[in-house]
Amino acid sequence: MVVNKIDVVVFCSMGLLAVYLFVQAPAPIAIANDLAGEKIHVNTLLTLVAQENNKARKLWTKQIVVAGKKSGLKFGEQWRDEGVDEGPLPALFLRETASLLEKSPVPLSLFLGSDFPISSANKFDGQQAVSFAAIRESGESQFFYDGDVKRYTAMFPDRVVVEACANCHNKHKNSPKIDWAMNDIMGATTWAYPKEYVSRDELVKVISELRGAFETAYKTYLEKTNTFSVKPEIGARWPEQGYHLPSSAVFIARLRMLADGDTLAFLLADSDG
Amino acid sequence: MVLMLALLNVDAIYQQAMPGPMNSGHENLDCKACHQKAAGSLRQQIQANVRYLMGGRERSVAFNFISPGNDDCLSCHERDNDHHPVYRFNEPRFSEVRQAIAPQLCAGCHLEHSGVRITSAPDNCKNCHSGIQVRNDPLDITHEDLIALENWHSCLRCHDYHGNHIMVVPASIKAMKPIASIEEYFSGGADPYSDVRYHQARTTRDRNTQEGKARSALAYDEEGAVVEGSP
Repeated sequence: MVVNKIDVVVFCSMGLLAVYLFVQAPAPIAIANDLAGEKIHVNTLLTLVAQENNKARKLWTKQIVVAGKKSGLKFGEQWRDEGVDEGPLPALFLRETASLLEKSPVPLSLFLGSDFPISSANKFDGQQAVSFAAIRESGESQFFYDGDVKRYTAMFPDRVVVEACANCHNKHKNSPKIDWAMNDIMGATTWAYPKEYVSRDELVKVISELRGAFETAYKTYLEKTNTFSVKPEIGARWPEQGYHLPSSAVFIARLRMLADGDTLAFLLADSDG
Repeated sequence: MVLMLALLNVDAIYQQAMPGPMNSGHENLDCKACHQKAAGSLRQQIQANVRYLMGGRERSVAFNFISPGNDDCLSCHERDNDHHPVYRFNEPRFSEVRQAIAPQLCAGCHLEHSGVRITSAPDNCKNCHSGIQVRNDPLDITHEDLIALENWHSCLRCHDYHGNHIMVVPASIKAMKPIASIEEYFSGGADPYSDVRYHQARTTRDRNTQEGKARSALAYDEEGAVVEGSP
């Protein structure tokens, strides 16, 4: 058998490379959020964050906006502008949260849209329009994979939860639909995450970051109230008790109280299932 | 052997191989302001990628430097109330727009090492705004008419894309900026919109610190002085 010198050199080089890389190798580079053990499907994560969002949205809408208006607080679209003594309307509070999520360390995204949006820039198109039609038809949430951005995506119906939502949209000069009623599906929240499975730790981290985004969005509003000509009292009391606002700690404590039970029940049911 | 030596001195190679002049405003940036070191030693990186190719690892790793991305840009440029934040375009409904102009990437419009300010076309608004309807339109020709005329170069003659300039948006055709001034701005020339901005780019990668956020919230004039009355 004739042994080619080049083959020997290549073989020896490969052997040395293997020893260099694997036998005498340093510790491997850690992979952030590497899955170990239990895997939770992304649909569970997306359903949970949507559920948490529903609690926060209802708390903001009923206890801050609706009750606040009765106590003299104002809310509007231009709330960020200088000299405007207003806070964000529910959709804008959500938009603030979505923006904060994008700055958080977790790759969770939230978008708001409708087939009859006040701002035409928020009208659904493509796969979202198809999925939203299915939501209108069935009232059920829709899940799909968005291939070009590699995101697992879910859309959840966004219903009229208080009369004020319908009234405000029906009266708005740019609203393309003016007969909204209680419990109508006004639009949908779209949530996206890049991984099909997450660990339990990662799931908890995502929920924690989402709650952190709600808290920071609320703090942003409180900071704005510091510029009001008549500043509301900030502390333990809520708008239903007068011209007051809860501190961010009080606000987030109420949110935790409202959301913890359902989130835990969902997680336990998912584990059992 | 040459290859191995080259790999050991990649910094020097990169310095020599810079693909083009830095964009406007970035002229004095150090390479490492954007090109962050990848995790691990070169040996660990080779090991990890061989394992990845052999199926022993879920993800590959970067060699030597991580490719700059949105996070690197936003570490200096991120701010509140951006009218077109890049993340908005990750929404599924922008699929066709992403294929056309990649607005979900900062580099979709600001490709670095091009020696200019903006590398996209000034009529890109057509990709999203063809159906826009403005109630109580304040312009002396309606937005719908401008769209019907396919006058997509007119958008940036009134509006700045990121909404960072403190200015009054024109309400008449006559008050629009000349298209030449917009093109000059794209090329790195004078700012046609305003000398004052809501937010000034940070000079260090500190967007997640309180100090960075406070700095970002200030308004600055063209020379970097804080505008009186900003928070």
